[in-house]
Amino acid sequence: MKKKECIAMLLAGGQGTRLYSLTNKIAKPAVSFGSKYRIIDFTLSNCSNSGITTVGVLTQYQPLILNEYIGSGEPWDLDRADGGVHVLPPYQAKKGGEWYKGTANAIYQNLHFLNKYDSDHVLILSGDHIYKMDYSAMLREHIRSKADCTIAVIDVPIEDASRFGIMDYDDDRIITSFEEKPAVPKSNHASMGVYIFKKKSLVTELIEDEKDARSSNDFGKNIIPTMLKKGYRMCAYEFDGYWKDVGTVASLWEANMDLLVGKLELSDQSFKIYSRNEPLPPCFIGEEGEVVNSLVTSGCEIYGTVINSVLSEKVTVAEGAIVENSIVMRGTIIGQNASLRYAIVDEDVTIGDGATIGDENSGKGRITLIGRGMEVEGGTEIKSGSIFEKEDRDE
Amino acid sequence: MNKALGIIFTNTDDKELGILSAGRTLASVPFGGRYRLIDFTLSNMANSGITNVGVITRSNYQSLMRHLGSGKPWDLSRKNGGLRILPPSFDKAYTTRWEALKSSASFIRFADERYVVLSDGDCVCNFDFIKALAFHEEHKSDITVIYRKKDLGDGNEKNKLCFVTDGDGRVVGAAKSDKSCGVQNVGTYMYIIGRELFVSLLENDDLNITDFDKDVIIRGVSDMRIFGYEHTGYFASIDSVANYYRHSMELLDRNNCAMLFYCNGADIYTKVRDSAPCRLAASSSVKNSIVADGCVIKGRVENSILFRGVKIAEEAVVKDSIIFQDAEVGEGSFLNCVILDKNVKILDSRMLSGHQTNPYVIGKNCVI
Repeated sequence: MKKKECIAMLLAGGQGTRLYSLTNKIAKPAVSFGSKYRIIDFTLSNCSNSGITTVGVLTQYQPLILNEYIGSGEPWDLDRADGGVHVLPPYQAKKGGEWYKGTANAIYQNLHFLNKYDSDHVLILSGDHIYKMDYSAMLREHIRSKADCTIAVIDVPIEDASRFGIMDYDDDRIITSFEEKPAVPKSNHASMGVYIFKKKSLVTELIEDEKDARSSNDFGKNIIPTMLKKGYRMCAYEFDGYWKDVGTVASLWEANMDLLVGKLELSDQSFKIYSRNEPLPPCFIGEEGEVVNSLVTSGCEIYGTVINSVLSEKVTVAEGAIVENSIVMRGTIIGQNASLRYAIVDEDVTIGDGATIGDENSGKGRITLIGRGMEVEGGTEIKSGSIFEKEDRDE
Repeated sequence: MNKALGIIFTNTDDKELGILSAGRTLASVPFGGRYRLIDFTLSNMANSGITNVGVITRSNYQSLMRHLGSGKPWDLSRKNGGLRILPPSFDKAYTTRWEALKSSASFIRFADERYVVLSDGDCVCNFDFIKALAFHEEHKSDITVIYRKKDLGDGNEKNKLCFVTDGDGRVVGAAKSDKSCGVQNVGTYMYIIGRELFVSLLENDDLNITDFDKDVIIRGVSDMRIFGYEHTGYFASIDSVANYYRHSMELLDRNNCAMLFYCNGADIYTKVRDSAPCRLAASSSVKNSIVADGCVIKGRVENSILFRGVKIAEEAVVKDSIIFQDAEVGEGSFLNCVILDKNVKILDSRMLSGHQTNPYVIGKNCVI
């Protein structure tokens, strides 16, 4: 087998509890985003566009839809004779399966996959961020600087900094400190959760970390701080493009809205975001339809009014219905004269005629959530900020 | 069920789309916002379990080949069979369907399917060949012609093959439509024929066959078992610019769309382009129109079909028009009954108008 410079390991097991009902039945990376995408499309497309064609996707929580979605990897051009994309479920040992203890443990449990390929470097990614990034530029920098580990870094507003891994680095971009989710952040240089390791250093440290019973086997909490302490050469790679963690309802809503104002360009022909396409006819807008400042896609049928919203495949908006500042995921039907404001409606929902969901003063802090497959009866009123979902929530 | 081999014709001399088919085969003419004409027949075959499909090409087939690739979008990239392009041999380009079939005779002879399904590449319909094949077997038919009921009006439609059937569906009369009026059983250019019978017809020069319709079907009515199978859903076959335009606009009727695209789960597949979603700006107004992914619309669009990647600038008005992939309409321009081919650029403040019966067609890559 030909040597590969770098292979990628994509952590896609996130439970995404802060997305509530949206991740009730599916893993966070499989959540719909931006009309025709799922969150993981961005990382997979980044890999493909960066020439990284061997990708292990580590799944754990509700992997069914994600597995099916990734399939052979053909939509991302990752169905390769040598390498390609592989879904890696938690390893089933003889004594029964074991859940991943942490992000580092997830990679540790898949060292057999890593060792199958002859590569010098390993790119570690997480499947729940929205951004376009050329990893090959970062890899070149990683190789040039002879780092054991290179961490992609983005400056975030200081008030958000305590949600991220925060680091400090000198003028040569050598990392001098790293703290995971510090209560009092020393800087606003946040880790994007994108790491490139020298494979040899990574494997050594993963094995060491696994021996430590007190470790939570996490990259941000354990591996990175330990490597720093041991004096490994750790470099920061500055990224100044659009990057968004969509781990909360508000941030998911906001990231969708960012597309409407062009904060992230999706139509760049030289850096396409790929997705699995359903065979559907193009969007139809009826005689009375009105669509303003919105994204729509194949299979949508719009007979009502859509303002500042993002509609996924096969969404129907009936006559007299109003969808405003909302995100509607695939297969959902909005009945006649229903109104939807500041809402996220999951897949295959039916909103009955005349139902009222959310209100125009909600804002992003009080997004109303309608769970997958729900049927909202005609005339129902659902207050802003509430979550409407099935009771048998599967924790 | 016994399997069938599919054969699709992509160029036919009796169908002419002027500029629209100048640089491409008829089968690769764009249709319905994101499709090419051949997508319908290919999808119908694939959905009916016909997985060995020969596509007969004659000229200008680069765009067709680019579209088809390995056949993957139609699930026709197979270890056994799959999609096979059948180009003309270098020294002998054929002109009729029959000559084309003769030059592909070996493909048909060496197949192991029991039946052959023939279709033109411009049959816009959602058709279940499984049912038609079952009908063919049940009636021990030599040839099954697929027809639909169509009102030919005062007899202005020339050259269409019409059938008379008896109570069992057996074809007892077949003739060209030149003098036919009113509602007739009109052929769809889709046929089912036993493969061995077909090979024997192709290879027997003594039969003096030069035209499939005339020398096989019409002549065969008396001595072969020819049956008619009716297609009742939406059907369009494209043979002129005016009728291309008319049939395209029929898609704005949601009933036609439902019959074509949401028919018992039989999806219509096409090549994936990975365009961004369609973006409608704050200044846009779109009514009664089809808009594909990748479009960016800032102006006004009415009763129109916009293919993938079309850009309509501010203050532009597009009415009753069809705009192909990646074409752009500049600020303040006005289009009425116009067909813009791929990559056409209409600069700012231009006015173009055709008529429903004679739409104004602008060829590929033109700048106006």
